[in-house]
Amino acid sequence: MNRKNYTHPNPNPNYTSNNSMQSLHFIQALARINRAASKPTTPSCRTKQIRHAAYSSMAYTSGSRRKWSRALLIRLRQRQRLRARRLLTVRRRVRIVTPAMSLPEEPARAETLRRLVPGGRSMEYCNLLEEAADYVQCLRTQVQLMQSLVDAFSS
Amino acid sequence: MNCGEPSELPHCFLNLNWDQSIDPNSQLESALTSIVSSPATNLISQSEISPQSHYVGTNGPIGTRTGSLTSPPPELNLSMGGGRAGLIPMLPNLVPMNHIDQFQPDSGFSERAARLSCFDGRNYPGFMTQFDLTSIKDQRPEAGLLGGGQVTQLLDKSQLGFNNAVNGLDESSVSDPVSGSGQIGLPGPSDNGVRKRKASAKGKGKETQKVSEDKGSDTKRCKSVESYGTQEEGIKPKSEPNGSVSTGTTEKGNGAKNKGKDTGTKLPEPPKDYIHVRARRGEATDSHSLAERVRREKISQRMKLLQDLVPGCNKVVGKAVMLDEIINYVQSLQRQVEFLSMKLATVNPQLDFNNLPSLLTKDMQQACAPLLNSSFPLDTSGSALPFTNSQQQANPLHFVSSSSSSVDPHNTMHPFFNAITDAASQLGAFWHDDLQNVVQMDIRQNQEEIPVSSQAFNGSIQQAHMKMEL
Repeated sequence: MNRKNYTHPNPNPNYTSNNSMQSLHFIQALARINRAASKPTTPSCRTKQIRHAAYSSMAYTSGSRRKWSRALLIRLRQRQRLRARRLLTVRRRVRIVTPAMSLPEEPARAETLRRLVPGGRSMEYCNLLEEAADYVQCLRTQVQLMQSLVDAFSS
Repeated sequence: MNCGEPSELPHCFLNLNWDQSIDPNSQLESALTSIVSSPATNLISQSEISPQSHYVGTNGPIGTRTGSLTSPPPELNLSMGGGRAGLIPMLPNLVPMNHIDQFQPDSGFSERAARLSCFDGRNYPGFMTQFDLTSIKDQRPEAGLLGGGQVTQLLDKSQLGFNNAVNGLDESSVSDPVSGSGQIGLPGPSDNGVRKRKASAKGKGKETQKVSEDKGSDTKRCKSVESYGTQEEGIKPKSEPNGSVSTGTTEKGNGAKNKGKDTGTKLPEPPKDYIHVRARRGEATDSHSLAERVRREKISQRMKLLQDLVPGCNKVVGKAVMLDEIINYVQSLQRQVEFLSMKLATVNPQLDFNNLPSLLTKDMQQACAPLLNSSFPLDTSGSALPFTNSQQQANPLHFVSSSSSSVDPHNTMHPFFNAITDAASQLGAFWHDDLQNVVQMDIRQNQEEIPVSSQAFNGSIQQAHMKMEL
């Protein structure tokens, strides 16, 4: 079975519309990056900008219905504020995240999954699996979109 | 002297149901005859004395103490009474002071009475002062034996008619029968003068008497370990099936009556309509168990969802291995995002749309070959990009314009772009306006020449014909 043509069941009912919206958001973010690039930047900085654009398009597509998207948007906005206030040397305010109570029957790998999923530190194990399923699906869609763009613009 | 049956005794005598006859040669014979023959015994009530009755002192029930049996008895100073204090410790509240001279003097009784700890002034201060027995206070023995015979039945507090208000005893307290070893012990001084015995279950509460042998002698000592409860440690009444509450008194012997006070407090009965159903294994009815079951079902359902999402998890059985696969897949996807963002960062400077004609003038064989073969790998019913047609899904970047172009019907190859008639600046403006000026057109097959208009930087418009042979 071809890996590229393998179809997965969709937990999201709005998977098709989310898919197209995610591609639209990402291309708009790329155009915004190109518009803002008045002076030549380093490839590492552009890589970081494109990666932030990819994650922000994922978060905007998912909206506020998921906790991982809210946590991702909060993280990206905080980075933008810190980047804007870097000249002012304002002391960084550390957010205290209340960790979820780890039950004894949870597997030991659950903590690793909490670190991978955005906002997973304050989730219970049952909610963590649901958020991880949605995050995996959006992440896979984003990877496919970026791969198609790389294939389109590669020369 | 062998006491006969209770029916053979006269009415004036006590009905003492002795277990065995007392040896006439014993030292206790004269003391017992003085009890039976004295007219002071008429004061005792005529009720039967149960075989399990105990002697109860004024300060509480008599317990047993372990004392040295070989210690010499203390000297007894009976200057006033002349040894006629006979059985005053046995009947302290019943025998009035004017009947003391009716007891016959006994020469050996002073030695036996000195061994009893009732003369120590704790319980009977009046007799201590009257008979000048203050010398026993300093050297009182712990316990003593009644010489010779084994007395197993003592007078009960209920038959002796003690004043319970003075004694502070609850009649519902259960007392254990004294073992027939012939030892009579007295309890130590209590704090409030009120002590009860706990009713213990059969085989659990009682501790067996430990018999220890001395190395020098063959005499055996018995330790009776009995627990005394405080006043707060009362015996809880047992609820019987008929609803009556038993007061805890043991009904033993012939015709012993239940003399405990009915407190009237009944245990709260469970509601009759409540039926406790014992849950089977795996079918717990507790709310916590139900919540845990729902939680486990949710976890298994979401693990199945993740198993369907992650490729290669269908073969995995265990949850731990499945979590490992999920973690590895998420990490690989995040690494792919970083890698593709690096690739797009290297490609992205060429996406400056002012340089789009130079991008198009390159060798299109290298550029179009992967694009024609690659399809947008999203399993959607709609288009991958919202501005493309569903027929153009195989190629996500069909940017077409509305200008006319010459069509060669003999060429059957698909070009990369159908036609671009706008200038590169207009295409750049199209990208800067957030994809607002995209015009969709049908795919025109069999194109041979694509006229491309490009605007030079000096302002002049140059018409360039690019012939793309694919």
